[in-house]
Formats: sequence, C-alpha cells, structure tokens
Amino acid sequence: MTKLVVSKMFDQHKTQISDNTHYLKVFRDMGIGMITMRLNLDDQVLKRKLRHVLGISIPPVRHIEATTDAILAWMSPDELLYFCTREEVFNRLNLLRDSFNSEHTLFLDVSDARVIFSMEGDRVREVIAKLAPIDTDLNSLAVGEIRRTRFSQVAAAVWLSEENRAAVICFGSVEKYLSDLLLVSSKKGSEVAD
Amino acid sequence: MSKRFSTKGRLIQANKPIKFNFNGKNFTGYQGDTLASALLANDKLLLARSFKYHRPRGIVSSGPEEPNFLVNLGKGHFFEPNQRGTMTEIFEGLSATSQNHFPTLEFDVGEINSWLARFLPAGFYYKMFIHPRPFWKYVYEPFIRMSAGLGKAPKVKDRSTYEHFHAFFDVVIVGGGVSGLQTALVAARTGVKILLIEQQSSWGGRAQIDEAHIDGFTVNEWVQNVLEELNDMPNATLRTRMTGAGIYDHGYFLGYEQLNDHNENNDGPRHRLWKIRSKQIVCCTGAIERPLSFAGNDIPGVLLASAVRDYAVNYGVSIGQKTVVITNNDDAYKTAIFLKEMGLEVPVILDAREHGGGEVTAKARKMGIRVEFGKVIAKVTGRKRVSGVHVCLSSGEGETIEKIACDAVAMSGGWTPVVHLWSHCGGKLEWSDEGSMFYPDKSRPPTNQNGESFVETVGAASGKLQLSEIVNEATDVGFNIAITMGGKEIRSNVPEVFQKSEDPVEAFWFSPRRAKRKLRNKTFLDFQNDVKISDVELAAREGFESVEHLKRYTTLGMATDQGKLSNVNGLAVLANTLSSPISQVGTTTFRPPYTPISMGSIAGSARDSVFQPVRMSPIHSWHIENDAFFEPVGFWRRPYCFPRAGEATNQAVNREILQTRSSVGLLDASTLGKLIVSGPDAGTFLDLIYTNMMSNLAVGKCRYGLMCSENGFLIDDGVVARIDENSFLCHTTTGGAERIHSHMEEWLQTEWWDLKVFTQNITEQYAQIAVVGPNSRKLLEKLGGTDISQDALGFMEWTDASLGGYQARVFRISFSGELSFEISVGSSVGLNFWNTLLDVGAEFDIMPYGTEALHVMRAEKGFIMIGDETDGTIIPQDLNLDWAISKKKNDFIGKRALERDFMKNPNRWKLVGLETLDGSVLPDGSYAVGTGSNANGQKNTIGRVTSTYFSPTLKKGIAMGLVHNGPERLGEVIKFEKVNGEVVPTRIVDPVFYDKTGSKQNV
Repeated sequence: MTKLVVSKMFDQHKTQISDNTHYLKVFRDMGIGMITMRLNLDDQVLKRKLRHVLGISIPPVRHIEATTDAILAWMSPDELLYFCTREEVFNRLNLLRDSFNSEHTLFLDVSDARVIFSMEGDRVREVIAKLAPIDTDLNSLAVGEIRRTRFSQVAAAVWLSEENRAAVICFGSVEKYLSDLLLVSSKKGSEVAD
Repeated sequence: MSKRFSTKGRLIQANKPIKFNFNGKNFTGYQGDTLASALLANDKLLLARSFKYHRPRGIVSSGPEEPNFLVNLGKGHFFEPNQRGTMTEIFEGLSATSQNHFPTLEFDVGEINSWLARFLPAGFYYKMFIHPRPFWKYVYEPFIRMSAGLGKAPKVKDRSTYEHFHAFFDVVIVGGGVSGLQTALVAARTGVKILLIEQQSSWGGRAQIDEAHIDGFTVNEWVQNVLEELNDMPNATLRTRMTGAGIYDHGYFLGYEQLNDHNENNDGPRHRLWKIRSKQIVCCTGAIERPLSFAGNDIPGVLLASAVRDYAVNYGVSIGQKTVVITNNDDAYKTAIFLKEMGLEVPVILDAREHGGGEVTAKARKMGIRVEFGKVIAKVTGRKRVSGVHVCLSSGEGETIEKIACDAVAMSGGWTPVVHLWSHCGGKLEWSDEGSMFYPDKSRPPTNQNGESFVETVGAASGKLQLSEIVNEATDVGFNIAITMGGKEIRSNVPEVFQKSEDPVEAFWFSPRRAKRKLRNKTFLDFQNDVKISDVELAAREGFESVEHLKRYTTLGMATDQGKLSNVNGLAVLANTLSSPISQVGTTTFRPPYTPISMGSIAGSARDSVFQPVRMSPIHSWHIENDAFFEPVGFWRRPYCFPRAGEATNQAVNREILQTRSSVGLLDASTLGKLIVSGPDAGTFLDLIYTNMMSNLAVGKCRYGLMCSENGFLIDDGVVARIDENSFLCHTTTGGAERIHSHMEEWLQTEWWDLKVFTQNITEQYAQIAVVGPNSRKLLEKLGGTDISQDALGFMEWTDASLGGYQARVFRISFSGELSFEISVGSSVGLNFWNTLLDVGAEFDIMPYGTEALHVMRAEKGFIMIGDETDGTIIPQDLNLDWAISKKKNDFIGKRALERDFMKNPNRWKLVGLETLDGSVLPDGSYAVGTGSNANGQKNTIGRVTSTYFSPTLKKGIAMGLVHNGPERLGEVIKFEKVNGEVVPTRIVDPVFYDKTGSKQNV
C-alpha cells in the first residue's frame, strides 16, 4: 500500500472522541492551521512560483501533496488548501502575500473556519461510504486523493493519508453534527462487509 | 388441516425450535421458518381479513408477492406494520398480530360488508360519498378511517437504527437464483466488479425445489459450488436479505437490505439502504405464479400451486390432506406429484387445457392421480377454509358436474416474469400469446446518458421458464456485459442441464370461460383490494377503458403488493370485456420501490442529533449554559433572548433593550455572512452586484449596500468594508451568506468571467460580537489597546486593532441606533473574548441580548430587515431606499428591471411607520382596509404590516408597513383589521421612531 509522508502535526493535538463501542478510532484534530489559496492553476508560471515559495509540489486534480510539515490539497481549478501548524500560519501567509503581491491571487487564513477529524481503522473506507456519495474503492479513491463532497447533509472534503487512515474537514459551525455523524456511523454492529 | 411432515423441510433446522407469538398465542416453529410456514405448520390457515369486505383470508403465496398475510410485526419500539408474513423469518420472541379486523381475526363484524357486496361495486366510494357534501367531513370520513387501513401506525418511537451506504459497481445482478448466480459467476470470472443480491435469506431460488441437474449436480449442490467460487473472488460482493428496490436514471440503483428484521436483539442497523451507481444492472428476478380466477378463489386453503410446493419442500408443511390441483400449465403437476409422493391425497388434477400436458401428465397418471382435461373449478365451498370444489367444464357456464371434497386447492394460471425493475427506467414490454405473459422487449431497453442499454434481464424475468434456456441466457449476458465493462476475455461454459420437458401454457383467464354472473361476483382478481371480475367489467362498461383509469377506479393493483398477483389477470379481463387484445390494453406503470421499503431506511441515520445539521456559532455553548431561548435562522440556532429565572420571553426582551439603550449590551453576530471579494476588478464587480457604488469606497471605510435580483427585487443587504485597494469584506444577512456567495460566483463564472475577482466565504472564520450602547466605548477602552475614540475611529469606519490582547477587527457600525462596535476575532478565541467582555462590562451591568431585541431596536430606528420588509416582491424604492441606488453607474444587477412600468408605478405601496392610536401592538401581517370591495367580494386593502413590536423604549406598540401613497399621507389615520374583524385605528408616521437625527450612534 502507498503511504504518504504525512506531517506529524496530525498527531500532536488530537483528541479521541470515539470509545470502545465504535469500530473505528475517531479523532478531532486541533492545532492545524489552514490557508485558502486562490490562483489560476492553469498558469504554469504561478504554479512554479508557488512550489518554490512553499517548497511543496502542486498537487494534480483531486490530489494532495504532503511533506513532513505541510499538506497541500487541490480544491478546484483555482483553489488550493494548505495545511501547516497553527503557529506557522501567520508567517506563511505573509510570505505568500509578499511573494505574490503583483499577481491576481488571494490567500486567507481559514484555520478557524474549518475543523478536521481523522479516522483510523481497517474500515475507514466503509464509514466514508456510509456518509459520502463517492466511490471509496481502492481504485477510485487512492491514498493521496482528495474528494470535495458531502457527508450526509453538510459539505466536507476527505482523503486517505494511508490505507487505514482518513481525514475529513468540514465547516466549523457544523463540527458537532459531523462528529456525531462519524460516531453514529462507526458504531460496532453496523459493519458493512463480512 | 395443515401440518408439518415428519421429514421437515429443506430450509428447516429441526434441532432449533423457536418460540414466537401470534395474536397473543404462543407457537413453536424452527430456525429457517417464515412466519407463514410456522403458522401453517400449526394449522393456522385463517390469517387475515380482506380490506373491503373483511372476508376471511389465508396465505396465497410463499414470497414477496403475498397480498393477504400482512402483519403488524413486533411490539413497542420494534413495531412495524404491513410486513409480509411470507417473508418474515421467525426468531425467538417474535411477536406479530394480524391486521384489518375488528374485534378479532376469527370474528370480524366488518364481514357484514361481504353480505353487502352487491351494494359496494367498483367506484362505490366515488358515487356514494359525494352527497350530501358536509357528510364527508363529519360522517363518512371518520367512519371510513375507522374501518379501513391496513396496518396500525406505530405509537412509540422506533428504537431501531438505519443507515445508508453508497456503493459503485460495474454490474449489479438482482436475484440469487440459478440465473443470477450463473450471470454473476460468468461476469465475475472476467474480473469486473459485481454485486449479487438476493431478497431472501438463502441462495438458489426456486429451481432447487424441483428435480433437475446442472453439470451433473443437483441444483442445490450446483448452487453451493457457485457460491464457493464467488465468495473467493475479491471483485464479487454477495448480499442476502437485500431487495432490488428501484432503478433510476444514470445507473442509479436502490438496494434495500433487511439486516435485523429477523432478530430484534442484534446490534446494528435494522435496515440499510444501498445507494448504488452501476454501469449495468441485470435483473434475474424470476417470475411469479398467477392465480386462476374462479368463484371462491380467495377462501383460506386456496394457494398458488408453487407455494404449496414451496411450503412442502422448503418447510415440510402440507397445506391440506386432500389437495385439488387446478392448472393451465405443466408446472402445477409437480405439486401434485410431490404431494402424492409424500403420501398425501390428490383427489384430482383439473387441467383447463383440452389436451392436457406433456411428460408430467403421464407421470401423474402413472402414479395413480386422477387427471381431468378441459375441466375446471366452478366454485370452491367453505368459508374459513376450503371444504370442497364444484367441478365444471372449462368452456361452459359453470354447471356443476361433480362435487369433490378437499381441504386445499393448489392453483396455477401460468407465470408472470418480474419485469418491474426492467420497467422502472423505461424498459418496454412485449406480450406473448404463446407464453401468456408480458416479457421484456430487449430491442427497447432502458437507456443511460449515452443512449445505451443499461438494464438486462436473464432467465424467468426474460420470460424463459426452462432451466436450459435460463443458463444459456445467463452465460451469454454475463459474459457480454462484462466485456463491455472492460472484463478479460475469460469465457465460461454453458452448464449442461437435465430437466423434464414441459408443454406450453394455455391462456385461461377465468374459470369457466363463460362463467355466470353469480360466479363472477365471487371471483377475486385482486385479493388485497377485494377487486372481483364483476368490478373490472363494470368499470369497463362505465367507460374506464384505460388500464390506468381502471386501476384508480377499481383499486386493482394498488396498495402494498401493487398487483403482483392480480395485474395480468385484471388486464386480461379488461381486454376480454373490451374485446381487444391484451397487448393493446397494456400494463399500468411500474414504479419503484418493487416492494415497500421502510421509512426508517429512507431517513437513514438522520435522526436525533444528526437529524439535521444545526449550525452553531463559536459562542453557542455559552448560550446553552445560560438558558438562551433559541430560534432557528437558516440552519443556525440563534438566541432569541436570554430569559432569567421567572422571566417570560417578552420581559427578557424588554430588559435586554432597556439595558442596551441605557448602558451596554452584547450581541453574538457571528452568524452574519462574511464574504471576501478580492482582485483588481473587485470594485467593478461590486458595483455590478450592489445597487449603490462600492468602487469609490475608501480603504478603512464602511458602506451600507443593497443587492437586487435581475428582476429588481431586493435580495440582501449589509455593510461593505474596504479592506485594501483590492479587497472588500461584504457582510450579508445570516441566511444569505451561502446564497449570496453562490449568486456572486454564478455571475462571475457565467457572465463576467473576464473580471479578475476571487470570492471567498469566510463567515465561520470569525466570531463577531456587537458591543452596543452608550457605554460601549468605555467598556472597550477598559480592555485597553488600540485607540477607538471618535477621532481615531469614526462612524462607518473600521480598523484592525488589539483589544485586551485580542487581535481584532473593529467596525463602527450600528443596527440599533446606539454607539456600537462590531468586533470580529478568530472563532477559536470567540468564546474567550465574549467572556472577557462580560467580565469587564460587569460594572456597566452588561448583558447579552438576542435576536428579538435586535429586531425591536432596529425597528425603533426604522431600519429594514430582509425577510420582514422584503418578501421577494419588494424593490428598494418601496422602502424609500432610492438614495442607495446609484444613478452614476452604467449597470448593476436589477437596473433595467427597475425601469419597468410596474416598478415605476406611483401606486406601489411604500414603507411608513405605524402607530396605533391606543398604543397597542398591531398584529403581524394585518391589512389596512380601504373602501369598497374587489371582484371577489373581498374588502379592498391599502396597506399591510411588515414588522410590529412593543417598544419598551417608547412604551407603546410600533410598526412598519407598506401603505398605498404612504409617505404622502403622514399623520393620516387608517384602519388595520384583526383576524376577529376588530378594527385598529392607526396613524401613519415616519418610520424612524427613535433618535431621528442619528446623534446617538455618531458620538
């Protein structure tokens, strides 16, 4: 199985919210900063510059790239989402704004606007499939691919960083809803496959 | 009597007895039994009452097509009505009750309807209950509601859980009989990803009932071999207890999995609804046997011949000791032969065909069974169970030529392919005279988005009833479909089949062919809805010639079974009455679901805390801890007010307003939409979006703006702040954030794609807190940090600031008329900041206020509210907001629409303030009456209330409203009418009730 290099930041501030009545471990990940980047991803010059500034490859469509201290996720043809530690956000944001002050770009701190959950266990794909209308098959949602989709009734994005490990992000105002949803859907006894 | 053979049945585990309860009595069955087979084994034959006439009814079938034996399954939190007893697996402690009778199943007073049957013909309800009109509401409806209805509605909350599951496959195969298994095996061997589902708990379907061999194995052995191979394939998913509920466009398929109906004590969901996308769907759904139509064919003890055989072979249950078989095809002979082999009596096989059948006929005769060709049943005798049959000639009028005593009748009118799934998405049918059946016309299949076929049928579902044809087709279809899905060219052999040959069925729609009216009146076509031959004939005579009209008029094919047994017989009778061919009459429309699915499965996990997403502000937890009284605003819950002990909500609202106006109050305004619009063309873009000018807004300043739809109607408002040369922050209403963001994106992406603008919704990044009141500045100054004095931060300005150590953006804007600061901090520190403000503000008696205080205060100031003053038909000019419509701009959304005659009409109602003469509060939405009345005899109206409150500041009722020529009529008294007709004299006044000069907010 492919395993992405994933920054340690996902392990540093996580709180387990599941217990032994669940067949997956579900965590709320704190301490992760997020920067929304808007720029034309068809512009190769811009992309090269961004890679140079951040020191991370620009992910292809529906993919994520990871280094030891950051993740960059493709969100749309003109949007990326950058993850780093919260402490780093201020500096990175300034670096980006300074570097691109003459190009049509937009960089915003959205660390507080979104929340991150992670799930660990053999059946993460299955729990995702209960909630999101996406094909979670190995051949469709490979490790390192990201999907912007919905989890039941709210917008969410999801990716697998390893075969048995998934991250889900949603908007901050529906944190409680998504956390309840993940817990309800991973209750022991509701396993789908034999 | 019905009872269990000593040898038990194929599916029964004789060493595992199970106790269950039916209608309050305890019974014993075995693991593997259905509720139907277990009750039959206990000699329970009368199990239901019919819907209309309350006639005694028994089990007719052994599968999902069962029309009669519906039960209320389970008790209390596990209760579920209308469950088919033929599909319900028994488990220890199961409890079920029969439906549709009063007071008891054995003695039902409703049976009187049966004696009144001649007065209850087709269309009776339509004809009878129309006159006199008031009777419907007070007499007819309550009575019908009491006597009608199938199952009971649950009384307590469902304890079971449900969930959805999204899945994607190359091929979904519906039906786990021989055709499904062979199709799945052939397809899976090529490597494509398949799902094979079977509605029952065991695999193999009906072929295992009969004597046949596939590849030298018994059918049963062959099934086990195939399952073994499929189970080892990673690309094959197999599920039992899962029904193909529906096929929809784009290969969307619903699978209804009943995980725990057979065990209420298991963990996990009761039902799971699979939402599947499949490139191809193969329906291997088999066929359903048709009843024959003869008088008394609904008496308990008359079953489908296949069901009699199923109960005998699968569950070791005999329906009777003496079974008369009536048929128009060879298949029913197998039932007679099996019963005879088990040592039971078969007094006669009545074969409607003049020349009988093939090999099986000879075999039956050889075994000593009496076989009569060209003879049928004239009528069945008995009431709560069969006591005998009258035999007549099949071509005659029904003169009895012989009476034969028996306690069961096995009937077979031929087989109907299960074409429901094929038809759901537009697959067409063809009528076969030879097979007496509608079968899929494969030249007109359901097509997908590319115009290509995406549904196939195999086996009996295709109209192929012989095992050799079935395996042939399965092998073919399985391989061909897999290849188009990109499967490897791995071919499978067509299995070799050994099965006795059969002679063809002969069309025989009612018995006898020229049955007298008296017999037709007792001959049921649709058991579930009590539709008789005479009803269909009457409907046809009355002009209901379309099959769809016939269905609605007679109820043929309605309710939970949707005519699985009755449709084709009904069509045939209709065709006969109209003297047109069956193919021309056609079928009613097949719609999903194939069999009823539970409401719980449709809801999935959406119940309790995940019923609906509730959006929460960063300060929500504080609101809950402090007993806020919430109101829904979009998906948010916002505090309406914060009542203290013993306080009513209106008292709390008044207190919050007075405190804010006299000292300082806090509002959680985090839910307000915050959209960043950025780029070199941001100003140009906003000039197009807003009615007023935004591009000339200076950095550091704020401006109130309006947005119209392209029809000129107001859609949103809010304060825009210019962040820097290229960026604006647009505040929207709470409910408007997502809507306005989409609105902007739509224009950007479809019309003004050449503008260099990015929009981003950052609503949830910030907690926004309004600090409002004459002491607000003092409070903030106590926090320390950035200078926010009038000189440093004037009205309608903003600044980035540090307040008490918090990084904040402070906007000096006011929606209350007071000195006011809206402060946004990161959501993660929002609650801390809120608490800090409360601590520091204690000396000013600071308190939070809710949305109602917000509303009252803005109304006191005459500020409009989107959704109160606007309702989708209101333009800015109606609200005297002409000043916010730029005359300098070439264009903005709505500009041209506002030039229309109707928008320019001076007679449009306009915004004014309203003050009742007695100081009372006007009812919301009430109308001012003018003189005269309109064409409908209604009083003419000249205005209406849009917002109305008690103002604690002014100690009287205040309101805003739209009034004809309002602004020109200041001082005039008009009359608003209450619902009870009372009239409230009200003076038209300026909408600004409080601080008209604006001196309080600008200090």
